[in-house]
Amino acid sequence: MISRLNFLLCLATVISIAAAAAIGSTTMPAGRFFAALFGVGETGDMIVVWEIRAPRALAAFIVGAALGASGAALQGLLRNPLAEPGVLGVSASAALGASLVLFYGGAMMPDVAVPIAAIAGALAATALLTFAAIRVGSVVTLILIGVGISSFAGAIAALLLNLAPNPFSLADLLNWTLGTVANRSFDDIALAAPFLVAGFVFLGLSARPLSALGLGEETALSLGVDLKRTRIFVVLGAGLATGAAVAIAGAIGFVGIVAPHLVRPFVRYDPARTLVPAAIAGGVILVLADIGVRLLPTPAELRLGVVAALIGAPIFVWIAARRSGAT
Amino acid sequence: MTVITLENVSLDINGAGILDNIDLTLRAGELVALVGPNGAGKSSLMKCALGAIAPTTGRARIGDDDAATMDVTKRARLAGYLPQIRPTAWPVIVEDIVALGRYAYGATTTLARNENDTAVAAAISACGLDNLRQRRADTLSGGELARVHCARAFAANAPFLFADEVTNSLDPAGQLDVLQLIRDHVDNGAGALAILHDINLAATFADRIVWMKKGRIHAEGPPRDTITASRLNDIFAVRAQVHHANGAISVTYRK
Repeated sequence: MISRLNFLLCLATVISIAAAAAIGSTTMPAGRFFAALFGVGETGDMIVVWEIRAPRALAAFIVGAALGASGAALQGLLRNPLAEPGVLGVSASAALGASLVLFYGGAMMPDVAVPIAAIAGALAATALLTFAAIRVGSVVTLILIGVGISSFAGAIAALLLNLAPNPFSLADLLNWTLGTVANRSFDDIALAAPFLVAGFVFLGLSARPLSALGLGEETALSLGVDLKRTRIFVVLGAGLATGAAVAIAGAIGFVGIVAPHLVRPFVRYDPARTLVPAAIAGGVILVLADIGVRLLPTPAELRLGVVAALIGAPIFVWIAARRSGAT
Repeated sequence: MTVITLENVSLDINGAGILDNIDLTLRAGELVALVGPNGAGKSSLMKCALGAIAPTTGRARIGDDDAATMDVTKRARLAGYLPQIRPTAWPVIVEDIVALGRYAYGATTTLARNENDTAVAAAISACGLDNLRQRRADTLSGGELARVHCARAFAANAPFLFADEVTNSLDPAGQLDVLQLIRDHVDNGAGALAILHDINLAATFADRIVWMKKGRIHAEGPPRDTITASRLNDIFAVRAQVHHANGAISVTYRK
């Protein structure tokens, strides 16, 4: 059975992706758009709709969904609504992995090396965080460790920018750091898709234990939760999904905080039932943000990651401030 | 019938002896109070019995299985747990917390069905929570939240219940409420081990008291046999007076 919330979110998904395919710098009347959509329009329109706008909208949705689900799962595991791939340095580590391959890999590298490097970076960060989570106990300390990981990955990325041999590699590296879904093709998405699917499977398997974990680790253990397996599944799931998302779009922050926060009241704050709607909401948010990015009349096109941070960072501060007193 | 047994259980953590050669058997239909000063090893003993930690030497068994290595679902169906601290990471509603008690039977929050639904509803009523079913956990008083956890544990219908200082931070009425719920649960056929700091509560509710100090069991037996002024002096280093009136025992003490 599909809940009313998930039904409405799916509806929003279809509408937002259709809007993303219809709206853009090339104005296209409804008649021409639908003709192109169903494959009977002019060649130019069909290229715009199917090869530029549709893959871009799909990429935005997939990236948002991966980040929304990863954020919801990490929040469930760490029992804190501020945990998120961006804040914890997972996205930055993934972007660093991808940048290293781009910087040192050269032309010999197979295409799949980029998503694999991004996922390796994401997994390294999530594993480090989970290991720290077992040892330190305090979630505030853990988030500070995440901030440290994020800063360090950012510093190495800055070092690569600093040492970039020519303007072309500089632009490439900048794209990974800022985050964008411009010029993405269905091939780029297909390359990351298997990792993404695997990530979603692991996150799905960890959903039920996350509800029990909300009552504390000892109680969860007594309820029959395998704590070790749950941690491993969330780490693998969030690492694979975030890594795949970064491989498509670079580092885009704060979606993983905002999406779960928006849907939580509608699922009675249950971590297990937050995962799916958080994923869909994350996707819709990025599709809508990307439409905004394309419509804003700025001299150079705004990067999606920049806009996400401009909107998401104040929301992060707001959520953190409202939690004063909680550990 | 399932029995929980600790045989020659010793526990060392980082070279420090926490438990020293513990032998203890827990049976259905009996409420056992575990008392002793801070640092006596009460919580560690409970964790060994629950299988949350494995003893350094000796064996802790639930039925025929080793408590620490047995299947987690099977263990959850045999032994429930009431925590001392009741964190609620999310403002989930009462009904959903109680439904988590059926976790080992495949029930998720609000997806509970059939016998899970019945068990959840029965536990909610037994703990007097019918009016609070839809309340958010963050709006509950400490006493109410303690009763929600009781309902959550009872919903599993496990033959054993472990309660780790559940009366801490509760007002007197809340303490009596929670212990009466556990007492009723035991009278309905379950076995329970409760860590208590209040000797008067142990005297009122327990069938048997296990006295611990420095990792060892010093004595065990029914309250009327084991609560004596000299024992309270041995275990807690207090000067106590034990009063017997109308079959009830009460204790007053000073330094």
